Amino acid sequence: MYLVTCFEKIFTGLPVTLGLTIDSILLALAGGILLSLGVICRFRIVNIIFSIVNSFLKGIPILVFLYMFSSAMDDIMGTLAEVLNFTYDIRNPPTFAFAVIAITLSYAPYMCDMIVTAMDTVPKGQWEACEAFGYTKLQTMTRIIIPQFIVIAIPNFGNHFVNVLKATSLACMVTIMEMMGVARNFATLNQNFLVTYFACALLYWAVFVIFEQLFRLLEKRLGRYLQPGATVTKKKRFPFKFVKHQTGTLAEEGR
Amino acid sequence: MTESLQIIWHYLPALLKALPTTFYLLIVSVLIAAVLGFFLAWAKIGKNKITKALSSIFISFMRGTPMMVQILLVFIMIPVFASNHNIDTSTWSPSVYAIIAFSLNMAAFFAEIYRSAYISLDYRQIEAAQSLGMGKVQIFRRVILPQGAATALPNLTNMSLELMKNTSIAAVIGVYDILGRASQLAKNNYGVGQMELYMTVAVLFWLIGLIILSISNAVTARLNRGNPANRKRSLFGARG
Repeated sequence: MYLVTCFEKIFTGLPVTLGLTIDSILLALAGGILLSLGVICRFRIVNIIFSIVNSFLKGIPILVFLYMFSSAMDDIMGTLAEVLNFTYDIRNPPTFAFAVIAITLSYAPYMCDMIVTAMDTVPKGQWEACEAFGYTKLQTMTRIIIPQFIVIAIPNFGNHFVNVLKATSLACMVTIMEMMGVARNFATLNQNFLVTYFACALLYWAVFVIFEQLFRLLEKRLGRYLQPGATVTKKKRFPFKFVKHQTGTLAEEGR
Repeated sequence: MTESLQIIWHYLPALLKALPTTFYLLIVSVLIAAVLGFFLAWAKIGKNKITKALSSIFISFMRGTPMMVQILLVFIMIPVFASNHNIDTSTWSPSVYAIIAFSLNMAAFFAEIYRSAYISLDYRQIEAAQSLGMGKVQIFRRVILPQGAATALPNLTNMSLELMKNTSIAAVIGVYDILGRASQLAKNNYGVGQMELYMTVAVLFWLIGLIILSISNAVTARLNRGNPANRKRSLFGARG
């Protein structure tokens, strides 16, 4: 059956898609941390410069970056290769790395926003309480702030992760054979566009649903102290209704 | 440096000529999506199980598949279905398909935004309105809409900006916006001055985005005028 062959064929592009996604999301996270350090900086000038960079990167379509890196980098890479003393083959550019950089650049500002908003949500009182307990800055970070911060940031991060997953489909415009690229080639080869693209859509959807559920589970697990019915020291002694009411206040205290 | 500026100056009119395409795609799709998304959100919030399941599946599909696949699917599927029903699609311009794909995609995201705005509303307010004897339409118009609009608008703007960036994907079915035009020009020129062209496109997109953002921020501030606690300061971002 044609649909099944389609699935098999497009499935071969999945590792490339996932590789692109994970590489770019990790790099984007690193870039986002750097950007957010600038955005929440106390010095006004640094703050303004980083905000402008942030908004500029956010305002540019990924395709612009992809086109730029795929075709317009020869001069720049040539001079860089001369200065830094490495060999750069113009006929065989590292398209995968360029695609990763392009996606990274366009998603770093989103990561930055995610970090800044999550940081705002952790109350200031927690820092002061830690200081009162005599925690060092590092201890405060690792034991108090980051566990809460991750719970707040995870849903957003999951959203961005699936966005990046979808954005990798654009990499087929610069001749990278991920799922979409494989599907396009296969469709043109067999002259059966409808079924092939439909199969491609279904596969993307399946991957999306899997990751969505994974992130939902992760959020639930990390944020279990916020769940209704959660008890930190006591076991459940009351019927569910009362426990829910009681722990409602616990959750509020946690925030 | 002066050469680069000359190249930019030379190409700017050609790029600006493609600007209406971007705006046309953006505005029409956003308007259609705003209406469609309302009905989707209504179906998802409502009690009818069938419409609820259908809208959930639709929203999940639209959120879970890349825009490019959707555009290509719409571009291929609609003529097939239309020819089954004896409708001639040969005279349709490709931008029609692009608008259909964009608005279906955006409708799903808008529905989620509407739904989250509705959920963030305090349900006791709706109960209070009911106890005052307000009808459903009246509750929507006087309680849900004024507050919901203020919460939803920043998100809607962000989503519209995403769409503005995504309009460049329509190049795969032959609708050329600024970026498509730029890559055409670059190819016509055997790649001379590509970097300058793409940088110009980037700056143009950024400026359009900033203009849309500032309008939306002004509107949001006006909607929030009774509720100063909702205001947040952020440089170059959606304030909500």
